[in-house]
Amino acid sequence: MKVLLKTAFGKTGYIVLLHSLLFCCFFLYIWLYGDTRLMYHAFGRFVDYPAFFTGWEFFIEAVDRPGGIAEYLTGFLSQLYYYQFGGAVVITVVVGLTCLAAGMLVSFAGFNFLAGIVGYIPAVFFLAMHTKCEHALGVFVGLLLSLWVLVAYEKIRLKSFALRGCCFLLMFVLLYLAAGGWALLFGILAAGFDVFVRRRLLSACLCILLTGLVPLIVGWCFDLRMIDIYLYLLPFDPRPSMNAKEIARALQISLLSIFLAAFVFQFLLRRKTSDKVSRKKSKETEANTGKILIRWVVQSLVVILAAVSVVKLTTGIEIKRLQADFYSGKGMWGELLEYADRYPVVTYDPEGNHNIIMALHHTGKLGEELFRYPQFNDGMFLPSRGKELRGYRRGISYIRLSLLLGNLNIAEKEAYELLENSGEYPELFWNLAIINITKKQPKVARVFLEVLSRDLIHGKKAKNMLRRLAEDPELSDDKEIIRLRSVMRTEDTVEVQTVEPFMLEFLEVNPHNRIAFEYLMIYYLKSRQVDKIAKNMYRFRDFGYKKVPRHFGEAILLHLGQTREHLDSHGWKIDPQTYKTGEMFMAALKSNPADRPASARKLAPVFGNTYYYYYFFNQSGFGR
Amino acid sequence: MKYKFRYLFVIFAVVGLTAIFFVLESDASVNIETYTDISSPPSIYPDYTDLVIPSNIAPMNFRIEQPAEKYFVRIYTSDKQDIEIVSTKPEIIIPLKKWRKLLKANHGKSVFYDVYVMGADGGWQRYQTISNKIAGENEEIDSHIVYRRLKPNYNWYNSVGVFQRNLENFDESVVIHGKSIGNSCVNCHTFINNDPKSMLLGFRGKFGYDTILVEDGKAEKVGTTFGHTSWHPSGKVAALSKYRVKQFFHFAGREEVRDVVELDSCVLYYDFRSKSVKAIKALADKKILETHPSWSPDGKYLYFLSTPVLWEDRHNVPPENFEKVKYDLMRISYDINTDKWGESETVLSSEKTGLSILMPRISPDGRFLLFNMCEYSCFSLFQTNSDLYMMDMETGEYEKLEMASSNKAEGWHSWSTNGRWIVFSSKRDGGIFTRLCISYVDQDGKAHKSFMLPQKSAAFYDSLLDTFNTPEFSTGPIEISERELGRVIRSKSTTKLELPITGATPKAGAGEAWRQ
Repeated sequence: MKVLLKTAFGKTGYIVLLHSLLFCCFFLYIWLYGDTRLMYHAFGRFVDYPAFFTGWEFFIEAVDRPGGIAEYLTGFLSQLYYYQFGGAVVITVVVGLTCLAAGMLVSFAGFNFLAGIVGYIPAVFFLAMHTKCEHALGVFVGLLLSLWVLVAYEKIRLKSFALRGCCFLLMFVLLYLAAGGWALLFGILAAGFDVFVRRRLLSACLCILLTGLVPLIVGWCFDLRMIDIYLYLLPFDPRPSMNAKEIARALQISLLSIFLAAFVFQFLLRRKTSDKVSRKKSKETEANTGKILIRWVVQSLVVILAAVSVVKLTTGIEIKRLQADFYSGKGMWGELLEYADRYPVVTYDPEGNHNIIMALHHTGKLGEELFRYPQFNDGMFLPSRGKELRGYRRGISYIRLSLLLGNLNIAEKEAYELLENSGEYPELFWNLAIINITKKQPKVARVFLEVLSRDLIHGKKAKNMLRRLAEDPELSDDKEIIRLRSVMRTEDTVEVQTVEPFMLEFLEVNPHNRIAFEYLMIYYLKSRQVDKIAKNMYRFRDFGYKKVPRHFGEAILLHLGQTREHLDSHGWKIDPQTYKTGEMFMAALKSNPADRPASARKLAPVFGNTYYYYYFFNQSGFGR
Repeated sequence: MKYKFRYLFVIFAVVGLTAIFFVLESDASVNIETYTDISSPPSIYPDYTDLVIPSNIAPMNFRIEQPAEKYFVRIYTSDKQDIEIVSTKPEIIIPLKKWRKLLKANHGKSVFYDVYVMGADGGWQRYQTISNKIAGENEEIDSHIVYRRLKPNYNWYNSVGVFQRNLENFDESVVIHGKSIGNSCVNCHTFINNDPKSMLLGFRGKFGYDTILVEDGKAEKVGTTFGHTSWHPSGKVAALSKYRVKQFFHFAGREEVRDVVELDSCVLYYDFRSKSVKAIKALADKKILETHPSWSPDGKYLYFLSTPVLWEDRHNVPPENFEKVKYDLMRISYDINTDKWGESETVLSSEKTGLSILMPRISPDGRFLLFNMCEYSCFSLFQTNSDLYMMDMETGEYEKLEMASSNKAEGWHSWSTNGRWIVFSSKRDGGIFTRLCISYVDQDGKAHKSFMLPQKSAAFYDSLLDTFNTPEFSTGPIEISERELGRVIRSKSTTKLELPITGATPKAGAGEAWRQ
């Protein structure tokens, strides 16, 4: 079979075929397990957004500075992450080409025996970054360009010093304009090749000199700052475009894994191949083919072992949080709750808490299951931290909440703040368009839709909306617009309100505004205003409750227990099980009243998901 | 070699055919012998109809808002000069040279536009002719305007720049962008009599809260923000307003979410001779807010706005009665030779108008005063009902500029050097994004229908997220480079200033919390 393959493809083709098989595995892994849609969702929320719009205007603006082409390419390719298959293809091609260039360079350096293994370092590194939820494509596009320019430079092999210098200068300038700081890698590696491989010291000095000087000159022409001149697009850029620590860690893990795995297999291979070689000296042709195959099998095993260990070592909380946030962003509320039950860690921060509140609201379980999950003070409104902005992840959730409530002006304000400070995200354009359509400002909405229409992914949706707006500027038959108009506040106010009057205002505008009511109830529950839960029983019918939600019932019972007053229940009956749980809880609480922490620990497994427990211990999320 | 020639031939053929195609496509003329008349004028965007236009304005490209297979526009004057444009797209791009030639040769005459559209059946239809009037030979508009471009910002800004635009073509260039100085905010820019050789430009951010003074191509950093500034015609002093202005928000029920209030403000002046900021005694009452200074062209009076402080708590935002803040138009005499101020007097009271008066700007000949009025506030563009008004300085009578205004907010107006043109920011295009509009003002102070600043493509405004504000006419380009301005801003060399202690002066070093 192997001879057949070799005959069919030739020796080189045979090797390429074997390596391609490994990349097929890489592709399948990214496609099936490394879902790029998650990374698309992470843009802005967890990593910087690689902006991209179609059209000349954006292209010209993007490429009008050093590094612009690499950024433009990254932006374009990153858009394809939206599709699971497309994203996997992009990654496989980019990583594959990078590996190929790396392998060729190792081979040029005379380390043929290492080329097969070292060539795969970029792939393993990519996996490490991808699993850590770092958007590695930006790094790889720059790396890819610089490595291939180096391959071309090494292939040209000019003998004249002057010609070589000119060629290097030309390539360096072009690469610098295309990939910014990545040209430095090319310059340094070219100098390294000249010193260690070609033994051309003068040439190496020229490379280093030009590598230092050219960015300064080009940077001066473009009026760049020193930090941009040398570090733009490189992962070492201290500005927080990418988590340099994570990159360094991913690189360390990749290198360590691959060399460790190589060492183990090299040891095993030596013993086995020496035995085989002594036995089969006569069949040389087949042995050569066999060697290729054995080497490939060994390399593959090394790479796979390294990749598996890298994935295991780098899989952390980030990917789980991202997955939960993805479900939330897509409105996959059932899946989110299921996922949160499987990985409770995704609920252990305010953003996770907010996602859970939203999921419970949308699935009609808020009054039943809120305290099955840990609660954070920031979870309801995701306020900004200190004097900083909310940031995109919090901000976009806040916009969604504001739109759900009917708080249009605040959603608008938040969207503009994010647009100015976080970037031109498609979701912001869409939301601003919807807000302006609702406020009957179609001309303004059109501006946002026109911009969005140049987005590769959401352009079609925007164009469709523009068509609809042309037919009906008020979009009076759109369900979401009708809903928004039915809940939005219209009376001019500048007063900053606290939660209670704020939600009551929304309920006054529309007594069926369920999110406003449930937020009001959460506020009462969290602030232990159980009397107000009881007083709002008359509203339950407005929201289609079939029975008193468990937590509301628990709060009402606590209120009754405290006041012993008669309560007008408006025909509602509290579930007998809620009574029973309450009695059991109070009895258990009384059994050891002095030591509260001990009581909390003891009662958590049984009552940790009840409002009773939260009311007395200010904790929740136990006993799921 | 043979093959090489063959390849070359193919390349030349492709390039040649493409060129021929484009030439035919753009300059082709059509012979329309039969057409049907439509009894209405065409709907075009921007609305460039019934205007008075400067003879040195860039081509006023527009879009025909009518789907068609083909478009044909003939632009002509009474002396038979014409420009013909055929297009398969509704965007009509007027050739610059032909446009310039046509306008220059026809001062004071009308320019007509015949718009034809071809339907799917191949038949042509002609709309009613539209026309504009070309202003007189001595009524050319200043060649440049300088303005700020930014997104509709709230509390935080990231990308604010001062740009200049050549009105005779479409060239726009950066004067200074915040990104080049650590994402700073760059703001009010002022010239002496529209001469770009002398400029004051404020900035605040990473490199301080200061002002750049440019004189004859040299820039220096002056150690305070000037706020709203007006340069005395002599160039020897500049009036400025120091203020503590806060932004707040309307949580519901308004087209414009943003609003601002000045909690404290006063008018001071900078004396270039002694390089010091001085107070005006008559304007130092802490219970009065004074702002928006503006010199009369003869330099004898400083016009400004004034209103009593209506709240006790100067830290509460918005303060009580913020919606009752209405500014009066005042003036105070000044003698540049003796550096002496007179007593302030009311020119127009808000009690009389029932509205808040803002941004007084007097025409270069001193005959007219252009100003804003809105329901309340010190900032017109956040008030939907803000309109432009013109006062005759001889009679004191004023009237709304009905033709130039729209039903949306207008403000940040300024005069051209010859007093025939005004430029202002307007939210007419939807209510959120401010665009620059230009209007002709005739000898009687009547402002004619205004038009949006022409752009290379009629689609320019369709997807433009930037707003334009503080436009100022300039008789030429600002020569100093952005690099040089950035270098001076980043440098540590600053002309230190001592602020006079008046009741309204903010504490030294206090930065404005509100950023527009």
